[in-house]
Amino acid sequence: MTALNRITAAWIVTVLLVFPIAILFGILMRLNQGNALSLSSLTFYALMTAHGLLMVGIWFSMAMAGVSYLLQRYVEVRTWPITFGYVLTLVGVVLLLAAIFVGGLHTGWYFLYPLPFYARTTSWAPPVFLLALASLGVAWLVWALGLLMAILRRYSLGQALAWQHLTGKTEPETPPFILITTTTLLGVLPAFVAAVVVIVLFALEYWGGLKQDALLMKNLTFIFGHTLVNEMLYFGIATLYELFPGLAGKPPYKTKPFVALAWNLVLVVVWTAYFHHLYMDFVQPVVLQYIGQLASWIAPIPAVAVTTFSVLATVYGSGMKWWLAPTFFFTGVMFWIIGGFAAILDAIVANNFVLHNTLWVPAHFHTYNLLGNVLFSLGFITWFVREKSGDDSGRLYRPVATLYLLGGTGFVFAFYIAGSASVMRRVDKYPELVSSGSLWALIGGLFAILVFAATLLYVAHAIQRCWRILAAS
Amino acid sequence: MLAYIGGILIAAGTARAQLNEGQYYLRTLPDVPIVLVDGSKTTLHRLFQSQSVILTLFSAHCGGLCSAYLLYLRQALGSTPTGFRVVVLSFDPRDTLADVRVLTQRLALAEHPSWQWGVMDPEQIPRLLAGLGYALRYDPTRNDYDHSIVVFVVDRQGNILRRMEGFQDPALLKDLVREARGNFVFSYPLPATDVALRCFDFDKETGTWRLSWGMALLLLPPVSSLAIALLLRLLVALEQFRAADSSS
Repeated sequence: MTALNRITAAWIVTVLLVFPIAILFGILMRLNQGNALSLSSLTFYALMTAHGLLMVGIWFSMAMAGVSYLLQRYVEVRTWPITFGYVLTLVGVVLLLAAIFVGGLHTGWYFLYPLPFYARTTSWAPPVFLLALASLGVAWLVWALGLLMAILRRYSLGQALAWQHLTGKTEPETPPFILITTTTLLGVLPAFVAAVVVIVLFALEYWGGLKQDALLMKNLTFIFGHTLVNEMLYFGIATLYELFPGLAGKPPYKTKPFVALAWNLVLVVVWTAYFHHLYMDFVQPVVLQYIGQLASWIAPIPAVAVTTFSVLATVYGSGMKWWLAPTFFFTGVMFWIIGGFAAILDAIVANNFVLHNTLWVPAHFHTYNLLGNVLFSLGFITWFVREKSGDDSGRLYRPVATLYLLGGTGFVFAFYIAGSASVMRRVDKYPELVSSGSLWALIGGLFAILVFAATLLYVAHAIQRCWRILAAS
Repeated sequence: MLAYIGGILIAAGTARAQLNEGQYYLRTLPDVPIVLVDGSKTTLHRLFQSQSVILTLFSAHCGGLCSAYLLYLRQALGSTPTGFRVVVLSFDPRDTLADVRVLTQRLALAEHPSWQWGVMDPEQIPRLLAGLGYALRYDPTRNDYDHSIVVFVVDRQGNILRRMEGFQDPALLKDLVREARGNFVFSYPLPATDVALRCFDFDKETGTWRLSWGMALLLLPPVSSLAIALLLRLLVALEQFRAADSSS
């Protein structure tokens, strides 16, 4: 049993243990908004903070873990950066939960300045929160550098980015998995650097009393947060490119010039797409707003178009045997398109003024996370479990796929309807002005319970088998 | 009268306990009956129905700031505003319609339909004051009221959108007007000296701004990432050079 198997199994067990808890936090929030529960505002915002940070944290880590495992097909992967990332991530998560549930921190997952300074119950929560962020940032930075180093030991930077394919050359061949992983690793580094800068600036104010510029802090926070969640999705796509053709009984994908172009474009454009979160910050220079608008349109089109075309072409005429892993991957891509389309609608300036502070935003990011990115990682986990235990989770196929997809669809649908009715986001109770929000919250919460049930079934199955991998070692 | 005094005390207490402007935001005002200066009867919400409203309160018996404040409002808002109406209500139970008419004539606002003046039943006044968070205290030695001077922006559903206390820069009052018309109003912090890095430097004297070092900091993440990638490549090259060297 290799060390890489062990650490991958450990990541799976950890992520799958946290996932249902984070879902439960989300359900409690929706039921509270639906007036089926009555949580205090502080509890609601603490749950909102924990839900967002946990979901982003665990699925970013799982996406990285999947890529780390599959990378061994092409290069020598050293496990210490992954193990280092695992340990420090656990430390970060424990600190984070302490800051939220003991310290009363309730900033929301983007922790916009100066919200972290407003923990209501304790004075130690903000520094512990900053420490947690630093811990997570260092964990993922070292891990990402370790993977990048592994790739660069075999490929030059130009080869890893498939620049030779841009000119039509076929040799040396860069597999799409290496190309996407490299662009994603390079793309995510700015997020970590921005996190470091933000933490330092927060610390300067907390300990040094030096005030910060809110616009600067917001820009830096979104370079971190927005880039991180985008790149998380691309790690999932890398996994899909690597595994999906094999699941359909087809040969591996090749890097064509348009594939190389698309992912190189993504590398550059994703850094500037976050500007669409600042359309309403009127003091932001107008030129950046234009860049944000253009980048928001350009960023998803190459990746989505190329990936969708590849996946549909793979499935067509393949006689694919549908079980959980290919179903997760395929439906993940389809919902990625839907969520991406909803995101582009919101990223258009004129629409943004109507939609951006409404539930349309959680609608689109839950579409391509809960029904997109999470499914890519679950696809990898299901494949991994079959590789290691021989169990293809056949008994679970119908109940898990049905409950998860039905529940997930209903859940995001409730967000979309409420968002288009101008129901605002980030509030624990809806005022009478938008009282329809309560009904849709209740409906969304009930559908989320179906997702929760599917998750419990799946988690019990996968954890049992991964635990055996760990125990065997 | 007892009910009125009791209500005033409650309203004053409420106002003192809730100085946070945010607590009044989007609060729906009570639909109290109003008698307009021409003698017609209506309710507060009917006054709001057709247009957004800038609402203020006064006393015709006021020996203090009321007249000066109303003159200031007339100057800032104009006698024939467009896109919104100004509703001016008396909080003083002593005021009669005749008193109010005299005041409107003195202010040269009697003939302007965009300015609507009215009085309320004394028992209804505390309801409105509590809804507005309007501070009021009767001073028997002066036989007059200590009171807020404040304007509110109220939407067509009777919800408070903004409030502004005192004699402010007319430019700020114009922002209120734009908000009453349904336009988006920018707000921003004044430049401070204790900020570490700003995106912009603003010159208060000339009203001009220029990009500052904070904005340059946004280039740091992508630039440092490229630098890290190149550094890693160098490290790998060094590693491979050493390996080749030791094997030879």
